[in-house]
Amino acid sequence: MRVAFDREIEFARVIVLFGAFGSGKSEIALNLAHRLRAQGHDTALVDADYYKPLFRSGGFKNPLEKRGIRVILPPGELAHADVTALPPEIYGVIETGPNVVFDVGGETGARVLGALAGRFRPGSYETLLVVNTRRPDARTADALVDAAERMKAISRLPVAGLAANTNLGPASTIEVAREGYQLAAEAARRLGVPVKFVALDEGLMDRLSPDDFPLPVLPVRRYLLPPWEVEEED
Amino acid sequence: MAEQILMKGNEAVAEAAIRAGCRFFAGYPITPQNEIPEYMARKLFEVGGTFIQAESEVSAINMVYGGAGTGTRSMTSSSSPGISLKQEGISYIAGAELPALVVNMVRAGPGLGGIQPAQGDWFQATKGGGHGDYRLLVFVPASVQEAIDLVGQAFELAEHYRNPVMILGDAVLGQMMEPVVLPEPVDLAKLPQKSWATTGTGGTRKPNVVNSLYLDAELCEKHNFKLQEKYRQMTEREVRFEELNMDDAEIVLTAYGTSARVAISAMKRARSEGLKVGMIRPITAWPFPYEPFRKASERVRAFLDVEMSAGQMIEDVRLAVQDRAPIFFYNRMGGMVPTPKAVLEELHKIDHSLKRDKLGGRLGV
Repeated sequence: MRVAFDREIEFARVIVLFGAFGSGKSEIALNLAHRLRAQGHDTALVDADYYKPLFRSGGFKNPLEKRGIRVILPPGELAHADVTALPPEIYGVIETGPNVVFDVGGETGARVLGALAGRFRPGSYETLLVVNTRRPDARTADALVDAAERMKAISRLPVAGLAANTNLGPASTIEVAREGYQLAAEAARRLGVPVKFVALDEGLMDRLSPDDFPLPVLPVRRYLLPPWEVEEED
Repeated sequence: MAEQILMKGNEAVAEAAIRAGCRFFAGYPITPQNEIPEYMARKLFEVGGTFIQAESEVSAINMVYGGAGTGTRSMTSSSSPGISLKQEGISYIAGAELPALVVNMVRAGPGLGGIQPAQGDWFQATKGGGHGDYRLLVFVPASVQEAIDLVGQAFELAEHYRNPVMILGDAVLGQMMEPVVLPEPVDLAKLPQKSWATTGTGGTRKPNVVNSLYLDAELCEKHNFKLQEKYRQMTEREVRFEELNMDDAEIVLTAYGTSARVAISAMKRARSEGLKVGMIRPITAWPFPYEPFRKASERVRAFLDVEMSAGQMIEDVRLAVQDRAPIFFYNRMGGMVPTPKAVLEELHKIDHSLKRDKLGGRLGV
């Protein structure tokens, strides 16, 4: 399917986001799901990050479902358990069904993928390694290549591309994103895969010049805010 | 300035501990603090340290007791139910006068409660969760950067006073990500020698003994007086707090940790709506900053204490304020976090009721 960022980009039906914990998978998953839905695609989001108790994409179940995005989570109270089973719908959406954004936990969380690996059909999915080079253990191209190798071993899936997501949360800048993109591009070259897109805080988009990045830029709205930054509706 | 990186509270605490010279960690997994032992398991051996996943919290704290006895900078971390299990060991470490760091990323209670953030462990941390007359120096950071800075101080002060120090956070602090700058690692070779550590005599001195047992009551009392003298020194020297907008404040918000971040948001909005709101944020839960509350109570109209508990810190606020000003309370429990909007509404209600009381001539005590 084609998805418009600042320009159009081709994705497989199932987009699997994996990578080190804290690399920004959930934030990108939420943004991709919203973007897919806004373009009229039948969309599901799988929150398969059973590792962290807070700041999960599945925490947005109600607002996502209001917009017509199916959210796949363990039922009821089990969504808040610290270890849980996979809800059975996961198998359905991997094999057939809508466009899916798969939000997977960090290295430990990627074991979930290892259990599901045999279900993914070649050509119907693509795995993207989300990298933020301002995170510990992701500061060099070597570290990113290592992370990709570990992720492949744990998830039993290939790495099809990288999503360059270098940011400092509220202190993000275009310069920081560009420095991260360069490291990601070098790691991608060594892995023999492309950098699929650059993710950039949406507040920085109007300062973006066309030659900042030679590839599509996904504007990222920060959804996973700490409680004191959440704007409530009056 | 060193480069900023983005860190999760739990991993930042672990990295800060390693940089502060921590070389021994024993723990047992529990959400929402698992990233601390996970990080330690991966990183501690790289600096020649030792990580042990113990068979229980009880054994973990006793391993820390042993590690601390050798003079090695030692720590454990857990979350509420796990910290309850460690109380006996914490009392022993305090009784044996050993330095150690205990991190509690608090979750909802009582019992197993839930894995979401709460602040129901203030009593346990500040009033002695274990037995006997001991105290912990307790830090309550409100940001990831502050947690990093306080971990460094915690190891220094634990050794200075030869007493365990606690970092009391919660699930939000542990799980949230913020941009931070890490300190340079401590040079272990430059730390003062520990004459009390059980590192082997080499045949040159009498053995050091680590112990908290004093069968002779007179000696045990003497030991207790010595401990109390240390705690008195801590109350004189180690009180830390932050005051915000206190110059012209009429209503004073008080909160710590995650609640403080919410309260600060509410304070900013209240200011923009014309309410003169200030804030006192304790950074040490023990020793508690009684003095700024006492001073403020002589001139402000009211206090609003915000907690993710049924009301625990408020007892300390009452001790400081006494009946010099009314103390209002707003709370959430069970893993729910107050919203800035709800706190703002409380501030408006208080402002409204104070104005009404003033017209009725009932205020002005």
